[in-house]
Parts: sequence; structure tokens; C-alpha cells
Amino acid sequence: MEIKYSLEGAFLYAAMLLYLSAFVASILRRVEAGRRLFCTGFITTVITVLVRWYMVRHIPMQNLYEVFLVMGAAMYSLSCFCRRILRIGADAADMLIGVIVLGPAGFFFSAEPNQLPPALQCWLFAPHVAVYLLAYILMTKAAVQAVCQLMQVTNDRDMPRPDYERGTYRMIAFGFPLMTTGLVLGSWWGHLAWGDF
Amino acid sequence: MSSFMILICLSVTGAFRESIWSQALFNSPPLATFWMSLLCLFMAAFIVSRNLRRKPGLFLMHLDCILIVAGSMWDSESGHTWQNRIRETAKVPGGFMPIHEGHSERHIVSKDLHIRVGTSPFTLRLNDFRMEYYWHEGTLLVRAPSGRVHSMPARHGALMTRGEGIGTLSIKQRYKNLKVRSSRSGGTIIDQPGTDRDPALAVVKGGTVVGQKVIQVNDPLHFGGYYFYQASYDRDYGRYSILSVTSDSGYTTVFSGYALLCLGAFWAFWFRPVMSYIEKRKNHGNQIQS
Repeated sequence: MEIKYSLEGAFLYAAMLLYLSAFVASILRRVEAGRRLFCTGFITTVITVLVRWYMVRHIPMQNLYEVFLVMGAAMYSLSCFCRRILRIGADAADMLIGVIVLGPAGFFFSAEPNQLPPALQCWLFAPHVAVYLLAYILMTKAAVQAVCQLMQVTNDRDMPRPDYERGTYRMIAFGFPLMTTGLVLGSWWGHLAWGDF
Repeated sequence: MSSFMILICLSVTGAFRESIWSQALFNSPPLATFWMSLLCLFMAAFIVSRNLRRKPGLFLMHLDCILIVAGSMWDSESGHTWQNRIRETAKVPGGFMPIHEGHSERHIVSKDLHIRVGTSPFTLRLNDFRMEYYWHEGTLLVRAPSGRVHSMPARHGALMTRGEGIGTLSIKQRYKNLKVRSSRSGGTIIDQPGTDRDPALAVVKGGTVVGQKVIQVNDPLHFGGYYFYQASYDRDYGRYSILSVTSDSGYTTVFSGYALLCLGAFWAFWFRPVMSYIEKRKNHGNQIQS
């Protein structure tokens, strides 16, 4: 267990609490309150990422602590994008994923700042990791949609139901090119670093 | 379908084994046959399927498979044997090149540095070899006569006034690459930061320098059909560097395939749905007007 007794840790735990409160509010059908709490949680997570960035002096994506932190920050923006552009709801699920994603950063991984090793000092580092993070979040959201679809089939067939299957497809269709780009960028980086892909 | 399942299983297994093991497996005769058949199947698909030729996303995503498989086969050991036979060259897929500082080298050797696997058509001269170390701020530990150990941050201007016979300590200067040059007039302390950008590696062909570069992690030298990477060094005395040498055969083809793969994926999953959405909106608007 790695509890963070620092300013960064305080922001991180506050963000987790806000995401959790947003989830509870959404479950209790306080949709507007839930969205506001989610947005506040997002701002707090972004502040945590910026504090981390300032402390380590490089883009915070080097270790799993930083990766989970950035994933938590990306959650809200992707949730808004999916709701407005892809027309896929599931806000409550996104809030819960936000808490789950920040969990390992808050309690399991060490926040010890490290210098960026030479192998990671490459311009491909940020885009390669970033596209993968976005793709992973989208795939997680797609998995949640797929589980909802399965649960729906086994429960009540007569009720009007949201189209989770279409949501799953749209999410995967959006995430797949990002995952491909991540793979290709990694391959290019592998070629630059040790001559293999 | 079953052969693809086997390939997936082998790829997962290969990811957890040593790269040499995976390389040997994926270049073995049964898998070479598989790659060849796959290549033929992809080519046949272009002829048979009209749908494939009509849809740009699908077309690009299949064409890239052909390029990636063909480029990788051209880059393999057997591919190099064929290349050498056709072009009458003596190119090798890869190897290592140990060079002492101030010396030249042109022989490519195996990983254990004992067996010569090839010779490059030019000579590499290592003008300069240096190591840069990465470390944290660091801590200076001071043991008092009482045996107690005090610590202070090792940074310029840090001050320690602990008593216990230590007196007052202040850090006036911090060296990252401390070197002391002794001469008759005394010693000179220098801090060589290692950021000197003089070309460390020179390519010599026919007695003239035709290329030069500082090579470091993520920044190899590309010359004469080979990539040269900083791979290892003399860990005891830092007298020589070991470069890894990789042939560039097939790289352009493979990376063109990768570019097409990205383009095809974005076309099929992003651009096409957006275009059809815009078209639908346009048609809907026209219907309302009429």
C-alpha cells in the first residue's frame, strides 16, 4: 500500500472522492449534480497531473503511477466526447471507471519522481503512450457497454432499451485506429532505439 | 482460421520468450511457408474481390499487409541471401562492431564478438567515446568524530552547521564528470559535461571522410545500407564502444506498409462514417426543402 502524504497526493485523493461522489449522485438520479462533480474531479485531476509534470520536469507518462494519473485526467474529456459526438451515454460508468483508474495511482504505485532514462528521451515517447492511453480508455468503455448489452439480454426483454451494441461498435471503431497508431509509433521508436520493429 | 489462431498463440508465446528464440521461430521453414501463402492469399484477394478494390479503407488495409510481409521477408536472413545472389553483394542482416577509441573498424562480428559475419564496404572511425550519467540531486554524507552520520543535499550553496567537531560545511562546486589532470605545475580540476557535439563517429571510404555523426540512444547512424546503434561498451575501462549493425533492407517497404495501415484504419473507421453522416444530413436537408 502506497499512501501519498503530499500536495500531489491530496489533489489525487480529492479527485478520487469527487469522481466517486459524481458516481453516487448519478446512481441517485441527480444527473446535473453528478456531471458537475465529475467536471470538478476532472479539474482536480488535471491540477494533479500539472503538479506532477512540474515536479518531475518531463511529461508524466514514465511509470504506471503517472500513466494511471493521466488516464484519470483523460476520462472526463473522453466521456464528454462520447456523449456529444458519438452519442453514447453511460456517464455513471465513466465516473466509476475514473475512480477505478485512479485507484492504483492512489494506493498501489509509488510516486517517487524519477529522471527520464535515455531510451525514453525521444519525441515519440509522448504520442506513443498518449494514443495508447486514449485507446485503452475507449476499449474499457466499449467493454462496459458490451457487459451492459449482455446483462440486458439476460434480464427484461420487453422494456425499451438503449442500444449498447451500437455504442460498443462506435467505441471500438473510434479506438481501433488509435491503437494501430500506437503500435506503429512503437515500431518506429523500436527501430530508432535498437534497430528492430 | 485455425492457422491464424496458431499464429496468434505463437506471437503471444514469442512475446514472452527471448527475441533470438522468436526470430528463429518466425524465420523457420514452416512459418516461412505460412508467410509465403499469406502473401499469395492477399494478392489473390485483390484479384478476386471487387469489394476490396472499391473501398479505399479496405484496400489500404490489405495492401499494407502485403508490404509489411514482403518487406519483412526481404529483411530476413534468407532474404539477404537472395539479395546478395541477385545484386552480387555481400550484405549481412546484422551483427556487431566493437571499435576502440581512436581506431577504425570495418568487420561485422557475431554477438559474442568472436565470429566474423561480414565486412562493410566502408570503414568506421571512433573519434571520441564518452559516457553520460544520469542521477538524482544526491546526498553528501558526513561522519562526525562521534560516529554519527549527517546528511546534506549535494547541491551548490548547501550549508551544514552541525557542530560535533564537523565545523561548518558549504558546497562551493558540484562536478558531474570530475577529472583531474596532473602536470608539473599542479593539478587542474575539470568538469567535462559530455555535451560536446563534435562528430564522434566518422565514415571513411577510399581514405576520405564521407560522413560523420554523434550516435546516441534513439539516434543511430544510417549509412551505406546499414544502421549503426550504440549497443554496449567496455564496462571496466570505457576504452571501446560496441555498435550494433542492422541492414536497412526492406525497411522502406515495411514502414510504407505501416503508414498505409494507419491511413486505411483512419479511413475505414473515422473518415468514412463522418462522410456518410454528412451525406445523410445533406440528403435529409434536401428532403425537407423539397
